[in-house]
Amino acid sequence: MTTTESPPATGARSSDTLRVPADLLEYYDELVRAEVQRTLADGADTPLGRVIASYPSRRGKGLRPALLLATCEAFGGDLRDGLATAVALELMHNAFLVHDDVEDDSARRRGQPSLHVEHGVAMAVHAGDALAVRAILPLLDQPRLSAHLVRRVTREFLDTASRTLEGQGMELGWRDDPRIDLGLDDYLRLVLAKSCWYTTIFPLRAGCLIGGRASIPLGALTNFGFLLGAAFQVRDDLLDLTGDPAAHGKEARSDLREGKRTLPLIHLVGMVEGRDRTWLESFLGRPPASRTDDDLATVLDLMDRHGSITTAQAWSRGLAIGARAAFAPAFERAVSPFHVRGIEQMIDFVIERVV
Amino acid sequence: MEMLDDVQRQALDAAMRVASELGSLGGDLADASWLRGFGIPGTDSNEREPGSRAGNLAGTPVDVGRLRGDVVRAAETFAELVRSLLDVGFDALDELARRPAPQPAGSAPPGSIATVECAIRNDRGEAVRGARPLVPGLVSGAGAPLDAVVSVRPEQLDLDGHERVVVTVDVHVSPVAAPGRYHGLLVVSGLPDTAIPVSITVVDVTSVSDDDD
Repeated sequence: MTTTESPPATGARSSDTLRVPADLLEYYDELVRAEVQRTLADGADTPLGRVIASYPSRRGKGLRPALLLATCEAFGGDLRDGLATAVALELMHNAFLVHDDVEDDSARRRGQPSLHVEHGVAMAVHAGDALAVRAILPLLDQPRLSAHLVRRVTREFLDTASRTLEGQGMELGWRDDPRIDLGLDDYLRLVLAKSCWYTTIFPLRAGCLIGGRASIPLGALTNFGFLLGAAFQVRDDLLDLTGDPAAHGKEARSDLREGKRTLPLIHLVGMVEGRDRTWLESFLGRPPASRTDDDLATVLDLMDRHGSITTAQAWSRGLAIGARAAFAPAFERAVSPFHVRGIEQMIDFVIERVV
Repeated sequence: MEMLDDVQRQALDAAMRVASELGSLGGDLADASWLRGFGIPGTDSNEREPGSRAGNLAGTPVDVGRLRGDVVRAAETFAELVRSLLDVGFDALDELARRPAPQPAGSAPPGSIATVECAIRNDRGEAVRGARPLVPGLVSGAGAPLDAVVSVRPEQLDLDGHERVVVTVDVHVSPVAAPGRYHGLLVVSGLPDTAIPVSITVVDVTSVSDDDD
């Protein structure tokens, strides 16, 4: 840290008027949701427009845009400088969720029926495409940033989207094959590509690029983002098995039913032997629709017996400790202690979250 | 500092392995100086191979991990700088490309020669032989033709694919030509897509003051 504790003067809409950093997540979430709605209001009188305008109004965690905006402000940027990129990220996230639910045939999202359940697969796929395209537009309309910074952030954004798609493709391939010879390093490679880049790494990098006007090296932030994102994903894996579906907004054990290669499942496959292994391989080789609730309970029981859940909990904790260790170097050149503290508290949110 | 148990350490160890595979991460995880004290192999600053060169430098304890981290950070800063400079350079090129190219222009009083240089480029991949550049005529904004004889040097061109040459347009302005601005097009036989605007100002000598008076 290089300056005093006084909050930076970042403009009329700066979040530094908030009393405590813990309020940042909610503050940014409200701001971005309003901006997303304003962005999608154009064309909302068509059948497609109505569908894509309604979807982002479902309340998510808002972690990604919040992390981006807080990082932007932490490195001395004005909140308004990062808003368009935060909106783009949120729209792309929504596009990914819509298509993800179709791919996995998930019935619920954010406490409501998934879009393909509500409007049919054709309209859901179409809406996902539309959201992905609409996500690009805010990036191109950023008069507050220089042309070179707009290009840099847009390049990072598209690179992140490509990595995420590659990661999702990797996981689909593993499930289709089906692959069971996976190790914990494979899991982290998957998580890095599928989740970390767009959940934590891009928000941190883009926020720093915009706030610091591309003058600050991004490697330390990338390290922090990787560990934070990995901890976030392991926590997500655990919530699927042990969380409250009502609070989580998804079906209980939906990842397990879909055969997603979560950390507990990969650990279990590495531990189980004999008849249990034969049964588990058969379970993973069957179509998801044929996996019964009893099957899922059996897998969960195996995970309990082989310590897969406690191992995942320990991994989550270990990655979180690593993220905390990586935090200080990442924000060494930040200029707003208020926002740095806010981001530090987001680590706790990620690790301890129940939704 | 929180202490890691074996499983937690296993998680961080795996994270470091995966991160070190990816140069695109910036390389800092391979250094991982921020993980010192957790007991992750390769991260503790006092961990040094016996007899390693770093450990023998005049008995001075060298923090290899920190040194490696500094080098990585310096390289990263340099890479960022180069990327920024490249972006600035590209922006400047974009700006130049957006600007209209300056129009070849010359001036002369009636009865003299105005000279204009023009660049001709063969945008095709193949060579063009015996191309003839010419300016069919110049007219004023009101459409009045300029009383002049126009020639181009050289009269004939041999151009390789994508070759660029400069030609000179000589405008022999008639002594009775009316002062004013005249415009024409340089075209080239053999290069049907080439048409370069050329302008000439015939200076009104009666309005030019004589500084020696």
